[in-house]
Amino acid sequence: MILVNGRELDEHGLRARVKLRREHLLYTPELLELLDRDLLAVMRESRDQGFASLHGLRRALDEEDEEKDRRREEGSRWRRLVSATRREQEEAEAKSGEPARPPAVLEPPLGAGGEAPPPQPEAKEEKKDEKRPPLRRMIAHVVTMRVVQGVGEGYFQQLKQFNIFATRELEILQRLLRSGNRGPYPGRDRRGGVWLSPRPAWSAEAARYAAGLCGTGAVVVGIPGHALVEALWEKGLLALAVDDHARAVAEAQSRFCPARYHPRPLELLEAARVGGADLLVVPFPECMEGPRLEELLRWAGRNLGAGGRVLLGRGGGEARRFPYEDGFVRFWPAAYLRGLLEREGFAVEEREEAGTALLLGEKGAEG
Amino acid sequence: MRVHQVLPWLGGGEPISSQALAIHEVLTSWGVESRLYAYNMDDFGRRFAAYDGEYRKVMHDGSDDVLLYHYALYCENYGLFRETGHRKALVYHNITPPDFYRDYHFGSFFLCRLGRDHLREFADCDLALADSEYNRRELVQMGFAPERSDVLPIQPPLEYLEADEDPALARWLGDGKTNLLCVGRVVPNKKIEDAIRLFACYHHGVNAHSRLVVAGFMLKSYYAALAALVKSLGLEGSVHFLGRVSDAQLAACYRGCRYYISTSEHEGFSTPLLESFHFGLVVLAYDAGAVPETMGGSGILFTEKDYPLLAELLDRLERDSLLRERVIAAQRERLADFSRESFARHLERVLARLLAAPGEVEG
Repeated sequence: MILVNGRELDEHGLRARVKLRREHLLYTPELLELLDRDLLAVMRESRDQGFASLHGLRRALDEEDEEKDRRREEGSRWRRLVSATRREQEEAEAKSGEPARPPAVLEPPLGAGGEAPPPQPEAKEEKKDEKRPPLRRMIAHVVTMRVVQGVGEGYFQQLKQFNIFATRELEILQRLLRSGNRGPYPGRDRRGGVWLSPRPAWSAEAARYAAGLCGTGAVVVGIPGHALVEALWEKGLLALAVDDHARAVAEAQSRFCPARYHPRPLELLEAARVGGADLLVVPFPECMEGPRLEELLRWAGRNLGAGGRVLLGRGGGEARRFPYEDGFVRFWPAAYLRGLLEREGFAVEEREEAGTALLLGEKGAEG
Repeated sequence: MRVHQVLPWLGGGEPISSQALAIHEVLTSWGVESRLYAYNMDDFGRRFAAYDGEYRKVMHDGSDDVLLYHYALYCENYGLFRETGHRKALVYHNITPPDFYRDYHFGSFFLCRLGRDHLREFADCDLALADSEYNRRELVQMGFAPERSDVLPIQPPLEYLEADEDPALARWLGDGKTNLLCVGRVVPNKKIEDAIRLFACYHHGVNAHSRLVVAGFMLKSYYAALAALVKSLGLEGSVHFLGRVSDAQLAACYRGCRYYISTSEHEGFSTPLLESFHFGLVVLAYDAGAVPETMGGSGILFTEKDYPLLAELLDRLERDSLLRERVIAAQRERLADFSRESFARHLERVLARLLAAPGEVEG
């Protein structure tokens, strides 16, 4: 039940939309499964075992700190109670597995003349120390430092964002200067055709052309507006559409198209194990760094069978920009893109569809 | 008459300290002598309080003084409460059920258990005050006399959030994304994992142009588990743990976010809900503990953690500005119940009750 300002909300409309999103695979089975999974189980099964190690080490360190405090404040009555309760709890749990009861030492209440707890056995302490050799403790401290760095990551992200904003503002200022003809500006004639966010969308004709190239399934890396994703989805040919540009994904999602956001699309592509696709569309290769682009086309070379196609968009600008953000892109020379495709066994032809410059690679039977 | 308050800890930006300071301020404004003592404190606390040993020197002076003892965790200074010769009231802020900590932090698990075990020893106090009706009921269940119990709600300290916001954080949050916010200690009973799951549905299924911001002290073993979940859900870069933040940063968070998400399964009061009301965030909160009581029929309360459904509700709120405005207006109206005047009236009433109680004053 959902209460809005104390009144029950009619959930029918919301549930219908949830159903539609499920049908359109916006919620993947993996995601739905993770929603119900226990947090600790997720951590233990995580591909990155560092989290589980960190959790264990952190707990070990906490216990170690407890132990140090206990020694430091040996005269403190409540610290003695900590030891006694812990020991009783451990013993009780070891015996029966049932939840431990509060120790007898807590009855009668503190300050009313309770019995002194039994002394801590020495042998147990030695064993504990054996368990934590100096090297392990050192590693634990190093890992803790990494966590602290992780926590600080939020701050660095802010700093990075600030730099991006500053750069963008500088760019806009330069553009204003140029457009207003307020003085000579070197290279002003050559700098036309540079994108600013948002990225240009493909027209419906270009999208239809791309969808027409697909026979069994298409993978789209970088979403050029909703037209392409929608055209592929309607034909039942969309294997995966992924982008690291959140706004483009959100636009597709708002039309119930199963687009995915991922900061490293290639990683998702590998993890999703897309099979049976015969078309890879990369509308904005200039938004990718060289090594990532090479990796992506290598994936295409490996996974697209004979007759498989790769469609690369081509920006119209020059390779003079800094790739700081979506929209601030470095245009790859056509020769470079062609070379990459040919290296993976694709025969390449240049095309233009509805005003969109494209590079089409097709894998021969021998490829 | 003097009013003494004893706390386990007095520090800045912490709800129990804020409550004690609010009482102190109101008493001082009435011309009543008010003193604060704490077992430990930070630099901020040192401006107002003395160490609790000082109270021991005056607790048997035969005066008609009053002791308010704030209790939220086991602390050694509870002996002062037992031994004092003054009239005494317990101010109960609730103790997290220890089982939440079992898999994450033994120290907290133990202190919470010890704290709950000792609570019964305070049942002979002259008046048991709780900061919510939920907490008062818990006291009664533990053996406190219902007729000697009352509610003294928290006065949310909102002034310190009126400070200038942190510009870098404000700029980062103002990039057009739909920002969701969780504020408070990142500890297991807050169930931050459920907020992340809700956000996962919203981000992957409804609106990728969004982020979740979590601000507050982090229990590292719990954070490790949350980080694993974030990675498994493919939300790196969209979920941000800021850790402990300054007042200016917190103000930036409240001003830069549109929705406040509370998936906590144990709350004795929840000040961030009221702070969100103040800043005009739409609050979506799980019906647990004192949350419904704090919200007082405003905001959005859900009884079931149906994440896709809640993600859809967020989408509706995004598209339906009229609905959003109605919720925010009701929240603002509710906030008026927690004004300083209202708090002063409550304090006056409970102190009158305490002074009228047949106490065990020495003399």
